[in-house]
Amino acid sequence: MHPTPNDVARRSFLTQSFAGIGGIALASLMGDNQAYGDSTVAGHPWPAIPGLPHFAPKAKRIVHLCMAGGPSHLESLDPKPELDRIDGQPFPASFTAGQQLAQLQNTELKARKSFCKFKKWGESEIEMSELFPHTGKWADEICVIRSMTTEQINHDTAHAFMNTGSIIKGRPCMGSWMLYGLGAETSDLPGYVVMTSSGPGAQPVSARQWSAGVLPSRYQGIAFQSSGAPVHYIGNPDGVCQSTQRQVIDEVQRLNGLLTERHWDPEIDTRIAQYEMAFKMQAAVPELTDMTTESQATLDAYGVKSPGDGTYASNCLLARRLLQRGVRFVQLYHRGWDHHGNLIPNFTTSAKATDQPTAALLADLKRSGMLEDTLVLWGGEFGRTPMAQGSGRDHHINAFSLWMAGGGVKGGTVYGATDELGYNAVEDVVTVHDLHATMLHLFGVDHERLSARFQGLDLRLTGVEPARVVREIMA
Amino acid sequence: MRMIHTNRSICVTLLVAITVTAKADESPAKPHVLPARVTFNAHIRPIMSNTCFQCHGPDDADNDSGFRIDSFEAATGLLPSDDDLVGIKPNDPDASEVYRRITVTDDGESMPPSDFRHQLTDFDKALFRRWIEQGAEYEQHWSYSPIVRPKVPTGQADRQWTANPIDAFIRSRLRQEGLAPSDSADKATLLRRLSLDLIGLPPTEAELAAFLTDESENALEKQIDRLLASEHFGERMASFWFDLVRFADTVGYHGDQNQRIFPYRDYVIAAFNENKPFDEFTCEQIAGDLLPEPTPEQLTATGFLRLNMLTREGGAQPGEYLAKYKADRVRTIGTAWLGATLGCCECHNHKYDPFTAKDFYSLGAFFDDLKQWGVYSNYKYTPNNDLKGFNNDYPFPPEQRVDSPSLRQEILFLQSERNAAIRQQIGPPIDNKDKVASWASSIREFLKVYPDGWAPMKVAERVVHDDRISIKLTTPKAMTVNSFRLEALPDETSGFVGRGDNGGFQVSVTARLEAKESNSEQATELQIAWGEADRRKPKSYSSGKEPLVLDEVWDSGPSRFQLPADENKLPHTAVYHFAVPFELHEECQLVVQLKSSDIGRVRISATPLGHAIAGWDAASESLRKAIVADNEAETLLAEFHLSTVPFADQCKPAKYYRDQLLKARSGMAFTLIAQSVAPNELPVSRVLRRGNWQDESGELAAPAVPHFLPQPTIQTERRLTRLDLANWLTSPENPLTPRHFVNHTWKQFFGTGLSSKLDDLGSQGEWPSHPELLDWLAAEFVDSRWDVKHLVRQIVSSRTYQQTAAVRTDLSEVDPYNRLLAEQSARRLEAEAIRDNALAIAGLLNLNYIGGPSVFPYQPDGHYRNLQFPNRKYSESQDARQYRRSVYMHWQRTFLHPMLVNFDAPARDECTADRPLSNSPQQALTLLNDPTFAEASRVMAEGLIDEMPKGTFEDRVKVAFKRAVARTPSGLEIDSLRDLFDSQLAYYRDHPDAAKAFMNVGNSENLIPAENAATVAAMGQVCRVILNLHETITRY
Repeated sequence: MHPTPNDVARRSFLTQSFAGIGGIALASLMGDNQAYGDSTVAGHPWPAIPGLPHFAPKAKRIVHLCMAGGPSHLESLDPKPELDRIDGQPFPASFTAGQQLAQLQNTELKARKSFCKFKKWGESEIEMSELFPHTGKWADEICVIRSMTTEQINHDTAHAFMNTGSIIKGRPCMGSWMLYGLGAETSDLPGYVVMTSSGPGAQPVSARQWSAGVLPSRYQGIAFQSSGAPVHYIGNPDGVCQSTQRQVIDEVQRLNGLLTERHWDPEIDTRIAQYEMAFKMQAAVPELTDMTTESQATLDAYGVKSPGDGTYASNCLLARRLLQRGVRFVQLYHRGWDHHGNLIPNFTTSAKATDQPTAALLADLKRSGMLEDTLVLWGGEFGRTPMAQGSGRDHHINAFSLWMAGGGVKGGTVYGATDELGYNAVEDVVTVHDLHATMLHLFGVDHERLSARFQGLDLRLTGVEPARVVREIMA
Repeated sequence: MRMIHTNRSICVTLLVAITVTAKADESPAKPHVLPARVTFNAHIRPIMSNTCFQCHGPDDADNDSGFRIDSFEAATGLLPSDDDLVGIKPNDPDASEVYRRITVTDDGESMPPSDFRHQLTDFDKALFRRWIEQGAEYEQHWSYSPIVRPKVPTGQADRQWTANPIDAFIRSRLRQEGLAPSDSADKATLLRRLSLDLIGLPPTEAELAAFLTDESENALEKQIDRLLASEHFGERMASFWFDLVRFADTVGYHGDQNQRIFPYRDYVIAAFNENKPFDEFTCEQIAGDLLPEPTPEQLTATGFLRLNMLTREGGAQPGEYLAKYKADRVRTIGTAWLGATLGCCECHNHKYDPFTAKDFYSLGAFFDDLKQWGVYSNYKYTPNNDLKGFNNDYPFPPEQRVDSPSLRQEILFLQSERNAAIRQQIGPPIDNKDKVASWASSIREFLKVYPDGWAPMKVAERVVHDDRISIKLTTPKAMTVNSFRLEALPDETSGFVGRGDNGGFQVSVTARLEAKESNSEQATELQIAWGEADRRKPKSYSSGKEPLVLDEVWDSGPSRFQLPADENKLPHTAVYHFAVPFELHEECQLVVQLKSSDIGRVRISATPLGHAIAGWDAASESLRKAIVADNEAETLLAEFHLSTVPFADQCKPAKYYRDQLLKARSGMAFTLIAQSVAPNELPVSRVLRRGNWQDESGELAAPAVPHFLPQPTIQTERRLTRLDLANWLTSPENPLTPRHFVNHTWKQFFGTGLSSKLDDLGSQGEWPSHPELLDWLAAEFVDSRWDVKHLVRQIVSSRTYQQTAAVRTDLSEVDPYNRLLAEQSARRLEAEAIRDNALAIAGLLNLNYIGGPSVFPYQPDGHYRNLQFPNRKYSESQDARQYRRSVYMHWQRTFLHPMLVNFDAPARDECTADRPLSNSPQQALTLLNDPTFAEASRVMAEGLIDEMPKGTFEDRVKVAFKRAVARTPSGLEIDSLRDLFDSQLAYYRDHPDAAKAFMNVGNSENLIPAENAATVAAMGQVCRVILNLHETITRY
């Protein structure tokens, strides 16, 4: 009933140290990690689960370049001469009978050839569309997977499946899983950051795609905004300068410290640590988003016209800055690939908007040596039909392509194949669960052993069905 | 021999070494001493479920060995794989193959396999051994067994500690564990706790003072009575229910369009306030439309059935989404009523519980009668004749138009806000006092004759030319005409308001003024500023909303799939407001021209008052009161302005509130409801094998409740309906619903359920910390006829509830999660309560009425940037609705308000029984920087200064602490805050621009003049500190 001498000692230690907290924090603001560093009162904000990674990781951070809307594999990564040959002819029913269709339901199906040419790139001579000349130069670093399949044919659910491995709501997304399992190096930025940009054919992308679901909300992806404050609530209220903010936080900390004398509540110590972290974020985010330190040459390389303008190019540059600062998972959504119509101009526009910045990001990572342990993943939530839909293509789940680079991936390779018309993945099929298992493996995580308890189940990113680690694509 | 020896030695080791560490997911209160009596439910089932059922449990389809361990019959039989071996031989562990397998170290034979994710501890194995030794008795799973009211333990010495049976159960367990309960919390803490728990608001200073000075025996009881009777109780309780039924303002998939549903929220709040018995509450939501002659309220309740996520995405396959909707409903019934996790049965039999895939689809079949569409639009690739003409701006039928009491209150509130704003804008002082007075006296005379403000007009002549009806109208006396009311009345014989195909009408209206005696050439066309109607069918929508004013053509209701279906038999009323009020002299007449081929009986009246609402008296209650009062000039100033100034010239608040009032639609609101299809349209329900919606080969699955639970008692062979389901859920035979509800409710008051996994009372759930108490509460709940307030009252009246919270250090080792309840637990407030609490402390919270449409607090710009079909713009509430309670916040599923997200509110995509309580830097950023909280600090500071103009800093801080944490600050706290205040005062005096900027935070007006900005800003920083305190957002 009464505090033991030990408790008293503990409490008075905390009380006495409050006077010092502001000073400590100020020191950490000035970059003195010795004083505050990673061992805050309640530990690092993004600690790894003890025992993880399960084995030596090849990748330590990831940037997911999500080409939202579903880019056509037939105009990007999967050349199909036979499809070109039968252009305009009825699409063979042997392929399509009994298959799911989206907007092509109840219509006559005709083949549509690829509107662009494919080129062999690099020493590895990977065939990629000529619409991606900058990325093409990095072919030898890239592993193209041409045999992806998914289960969901509409954007919302397909994104959910790609992110969480399930379409049941409340499942954590892969970024949250990684942060939950592996933590992050940064202690003053969010461990998982999401940015969006858009082009023609923009489809909505819900915040549930970066939701922590049933995991605690701290593991959610933090969406950076292209206008206003880059992170919600990162700026002080009007009329409050940084020094006032600091004093207010110091005072909150001091009074919270006094509260530990009245209550035996470990949440108080955690709260104190979170306020410290919040203040550090308030300082770190402006530093992060201040791109005046980037040279004009860098801006030109990415094709950034106005840093912070919310374009894909600007987001790629910011992604590099985030990765440099120890953010675990950066996810860029470029919402510009849903080309039911006007495939030719719209696909060309989106390819142009994304190609150069993507390549610049690869180049930057390569130059700094970070590509070695940074996984780059490029791809959409599904592919598109080899059949025409007016002037475009419909959603397609039986086959699509994506590419990976860095982070332990074998560059200059192509994995898997579709049939001669690009309709079905037929060789070395990779499911979304396989992709997740493979990604986790690159991070040193056994996908069957990263789980969280929910409703009596051990939830896993890869779900209950068996998933395969695609070792063939690993360096 | 060797084996026996080995086993014995393990056993001996265990009996001596009793310090086996508990696993993280074990019941934390579990003693580590091998119990004298090992029982299946308390000890063995949790181990088996976690470790064995994956392969040897209820899912036969996925069991290679064929051996099942989940029942006595199966487990004690011969092994399918071996003719000699028995899985479990009661009383003889050493002859039980199961026991051998779990203790053997040979990798090929040991169970579970060494690569399985859960392994048995030595303690688990010892439990197994003793259980088999004691007969290997199986028990029905605790939550599925019938509820038998347990005897209340009789305490000996501590009767005074035992306020009710809850305490007896808790005390009895504490005594077993050798722990003493804690003292009662002090009165102030207790009132704050009760107030936050029961109504979600902190006690006011007056409430606190009243309680602290109340020395009577039943002082606390009186407070409990007061809080349970408060209409804010419903607002508080409803939030938990909304998580379960996934209540939201938007449909969730893809474009996440708005749906119209707030009357359902009102229904739930009212149900808790009226203490609607939970069985009735259940029945109305699941089958309100199937009750005999359902009331509009019962139909509104069926909105529950429409809260699954919906899609309107082009290219979505209707069949696929209908399967998703069905699965969603099944999971919701499971999680909200049964505490069962049914989701996995969409693809396969449950791994841990006896639910089968067939149970899943049979449960889903109850909802097959609902009128719904897989895709809520008509696309060429998925044609949908029912929804022709629909686009992304359209609502989601079927809906009901209801006369909403809360919307009516909102109208009254907006009128009063409007009048106050107008008064402020144009006076006082009033420079045209005489004019106002003379206007008022003319209105007074008018109201003597026409108390409702409408003067019926006399038809002097009625001329019909084809579809043009010209009605010449006069009034007995000259009057000012601001607007006229056109009532379309049901025909006395046909009953319909119109003569159109469906008994409806279409009419467009013009008006002119002419002299009675002259020819019509001298007529003056009258410009109509706007028309409005209480019932109509709009031509178009924008983001689910009707156009503000009447289209050129007034089209009578109802729309397709809209109730009441016979709306065209109900009077329709429109009001046409003239751009400029005019005098209708005795020698003039008003000519109203109706262009309509099918309008029936009409009646026309006129009013001299401005801004009359269709279907309402033109003279508001407040006008009627003011007009007979003494100080009329000031009160009536607004009405004078609205009635005498042409609309175009009226002041800004008049125009702003006109729009807001038009949005309130005369108090008529739409709400999603359930409608049944005709019996011959019922789809065939099948088990979808592996959940594949395209597979039509599964077995038929007619509506049925889970096969292993007590079945509904109906006499005939007819198809079961939702009404049968609802009745079964709350039937005396069903033990799950009451257990789940009381467990869920318990969590609201103690932070943890008696069984801590709120969404799973099944095998993978937790053996309750106090199983007998749980059953006693469940029995009491049913016997009290599902009386929710009775249940809550019992909980908060217990001594257990009233103990001090989070003060004992002696419990951290023996009961770290406070499951034995030797004290209360501290609990961070839920997202909604965090905001409500801050606004209440600041004096900003708007508690003027209960219910009503959703509100839009400040939200960071661009939050909806990624939301299309249609593009969305968030418009924050500009008036006092900004400060309404968070239960009314607009709930955008795909982009929930970041404040709600940061404090762990669920998006409500999916039925949620439990919210996590995290502690994150985002929470700190929100409390520090969200304009809602910054404004609250500013207003709180201004209030303190305003109320205590001569007060010292200490006076003010003391009051601030009372409001925030119901206590007086310590000297240390005061001194520390004073230092902050002094330094900030100095800063803001030197930086007047910063002070001014702080004064401008938020929309609310300043109470303190600008010259004192530095003081407000400095005090505002002190208030920010107080609103950010851990204690302020924690209920102790």
